[in-house]
Amino acid sequence: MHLILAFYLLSYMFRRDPHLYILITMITEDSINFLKGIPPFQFLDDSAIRSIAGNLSMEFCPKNTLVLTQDGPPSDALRVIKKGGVKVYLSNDDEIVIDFKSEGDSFGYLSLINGDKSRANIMAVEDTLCYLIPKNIILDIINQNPSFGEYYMKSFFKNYLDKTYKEMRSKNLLFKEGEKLLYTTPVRNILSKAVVSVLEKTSIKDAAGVMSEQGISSIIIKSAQDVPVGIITDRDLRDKVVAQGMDPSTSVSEIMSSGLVKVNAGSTCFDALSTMLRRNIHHLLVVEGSELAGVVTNHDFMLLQGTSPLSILKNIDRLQDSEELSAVRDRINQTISILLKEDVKATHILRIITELHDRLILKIIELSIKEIGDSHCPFAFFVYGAEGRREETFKTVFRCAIVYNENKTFCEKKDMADFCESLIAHLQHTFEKCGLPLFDVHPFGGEIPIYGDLSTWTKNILNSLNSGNENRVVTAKKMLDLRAIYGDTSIVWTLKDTLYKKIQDDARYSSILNESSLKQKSPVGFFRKFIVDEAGEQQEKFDIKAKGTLHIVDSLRAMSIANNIHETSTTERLNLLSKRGFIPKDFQTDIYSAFEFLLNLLMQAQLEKREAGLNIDNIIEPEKLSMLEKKSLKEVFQILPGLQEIAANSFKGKEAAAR
Amino acid sequence: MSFLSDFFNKSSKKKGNIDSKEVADTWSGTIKKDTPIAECPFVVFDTELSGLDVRKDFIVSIGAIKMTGGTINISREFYRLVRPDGEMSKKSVEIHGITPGELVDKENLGTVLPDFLEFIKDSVLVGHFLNIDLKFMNSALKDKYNDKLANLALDTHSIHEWLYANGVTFKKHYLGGSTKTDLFSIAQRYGITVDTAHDALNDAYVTAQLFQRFLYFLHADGMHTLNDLLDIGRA
Repeated sequence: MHLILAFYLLSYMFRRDPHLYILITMITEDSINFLKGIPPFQFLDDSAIRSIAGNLSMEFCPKNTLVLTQDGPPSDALRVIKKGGVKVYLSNDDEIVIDFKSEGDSFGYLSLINGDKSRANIMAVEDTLCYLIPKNIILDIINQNPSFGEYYMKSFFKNYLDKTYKEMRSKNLLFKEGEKLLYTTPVRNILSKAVVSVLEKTSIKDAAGVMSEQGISSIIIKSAQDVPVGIITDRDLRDKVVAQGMDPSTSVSEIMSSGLVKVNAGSTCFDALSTMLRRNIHHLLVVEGSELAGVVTNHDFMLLQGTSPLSILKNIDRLQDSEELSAVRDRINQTISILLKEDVKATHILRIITELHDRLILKIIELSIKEIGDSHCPFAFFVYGAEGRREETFKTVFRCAIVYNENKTFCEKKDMADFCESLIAHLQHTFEKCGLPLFDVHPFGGEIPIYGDLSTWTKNILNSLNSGNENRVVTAKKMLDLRAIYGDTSIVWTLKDTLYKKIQDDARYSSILNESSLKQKSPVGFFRKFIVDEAGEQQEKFDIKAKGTLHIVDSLRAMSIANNIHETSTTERLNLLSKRGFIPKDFQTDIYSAFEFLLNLLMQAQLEKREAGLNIDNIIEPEKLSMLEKKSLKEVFQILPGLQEIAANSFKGKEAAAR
Repeated sequence: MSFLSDFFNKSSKKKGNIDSKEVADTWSGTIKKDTPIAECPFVVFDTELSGLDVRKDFIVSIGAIKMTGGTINISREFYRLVRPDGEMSKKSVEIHGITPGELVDKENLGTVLPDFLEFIKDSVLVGHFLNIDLKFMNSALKDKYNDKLANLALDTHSIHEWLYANGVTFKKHYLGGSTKTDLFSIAQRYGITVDTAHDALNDAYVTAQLFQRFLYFLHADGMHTLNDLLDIGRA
């Protein structure tokens, strides 16, 4: 009885006081669901959302009316667009469009918090309904959720990047629980066996006995002082002992590999893996502090992952003819997919992809040369463009060229040309047979071949750079990111050195590099499924490479070459430029995050296309991006002009110094 | 029951047990007619009825939402199902899809009415074809308290008729207008999202959004005070 009374009393009281009792009707529920789906509200807890919903009002602004006026009174509420869209612009002499905002976007935050006059005009470009959240509610929310306010601040990008990536990954439907983030697992988690070691005086026979007894493929060799000094593996026993008929009573120190490559137990499996890839080793020592904790092998990664970049590498190394090439390429792409679905940084994935592609192309060159016979004249293959920068994503075209040294007396130009022609024809044939993407054999257009001696290459690249022909200029810029992958690599170094010096010495070239990086204009933002530029133009598709990553690549290339930095990788260029004081440390981090983010977005889009069986390109459709992704991308667009400015200033400084 | 009525008496000094005189005192319109529209408190409301005959039919539910000028106060809503005193006809069940069973545990009009009056205070009432709702509301108030609503009231249907004939900015914006008169045709014509689930509150919400749009165009055509609105849309 008392209970029932109390219930009546309570329900009666709540019903009476509109502040205590929020009627949850469909209308309120609608607004709650709406807010829960958009950033930064999506990160608030239920009670915060409800307190907003309990104080919400709604405003109507017909098309072409001003919601807030530049230099007008501060906004009284945070407005969230429920339906329709607005244009944010400045009207001084000309109208400069800063942004477009549509459903789910909010505006008026800064003016609300600071009490400043509105900084821009905001005009409805369609009949627009806005939810209004009063100032006091917003202040309460910020008090309890400081990260809420950050969403509207300049620092948004860094603070929300993790959330954006998380969302990006969870969006990927193909993500399976079983594939879970193995590349982020610390190495110590996959160490299963205790370290087995023998002393360096031990005979090969005894060591092999221990290995077979324990069922292990490698054994650590220790000095009398208990310090690890080497390792022997199955392979050493096979290649050095059995194959060469070595006396098994010889001590293990004779056959051990003594350059011990170690990794910290806390490093990720990814790091371990990339060390192994780089050093081309199959066993890696793991140390916990100064103690030896174990050995990881490719087999461990296989157990974890089912597939490993290392085993692909092995596959490539074993290839005896070109028949299996296309299968290898498929496996490379599969690996990219897996890495992407995991928590691996885009720039790291690129490193792995590049490594695998390098090996693949190297193998094909080797096989081809074996068939057509080698040249007497020293020559080298170099890759350029994204490959040259070690930033290859899903491969669509091979960018590779041959350079030889014309000054060697035994080199006949005619012979060399014939050799290159037949080598390239052979490679092209192999590629075609395996369904691999083909070489770009005339990257400059016209008849200029992708082989030549040093002076021809220097001339071709610099002339193209100065040609005024947009395609040729683009190719020339790609060529400046050259990297040797086969043959006499010193020739490639000479070529690079010559090119960079000429550019440094001739303001004509450096200003072309610099100007072409300045010409790039970033979009300002998004409007629904469109991407919008400063002039208010809208486009449904967006080349994220051309409008995004290449901005960064171009600016950093121009600055690096001007400052005699020979690195081609964009992140390395960034590092070195920052170390030498050309780019402020803070800004370096911003640019790095921006680059990383753009690559991630690009690869995710490519992955989706690949899995849908579509052509792989660099296009993303704003319609497919989440609000958080759009917001991050917008933030990136705002960072890029800053880099251009730095590049421009550093160029001006150099010019002034030259005069 | 005696406990509740005691509580009611004590807690609500202002209203007490509503008798006819007090209703008249409390709810007579105190809003000045020269109030700027932007500051004007409105309550947009709608009722669902068991039929259209005020002698036989009764109110099934009441929905209302507050506005201040052209701003809808989303969270200031009122929605109540009402348990009828009489029998519900088969026909009314079919129309509203509300069965007598659903209403058994609901309050009767005697309880809902004071709450509604408390909600609207002296706001200007707004509705689409509001006269029908007012007729039923007043009939109920007459039964219970021998009184009627004294609030100023506006009919969105009349306002629409006026805008359709005279609204310069309105006609330019919508390139003409709707000749239809029912709430949902009009709402759709002017770009208001209409939920398929109709109840008194959702209908009031749609009406509020319609009124919100109308207010903007009336303002553009020089209407600034409540009195201007009453001239063209008084219910």
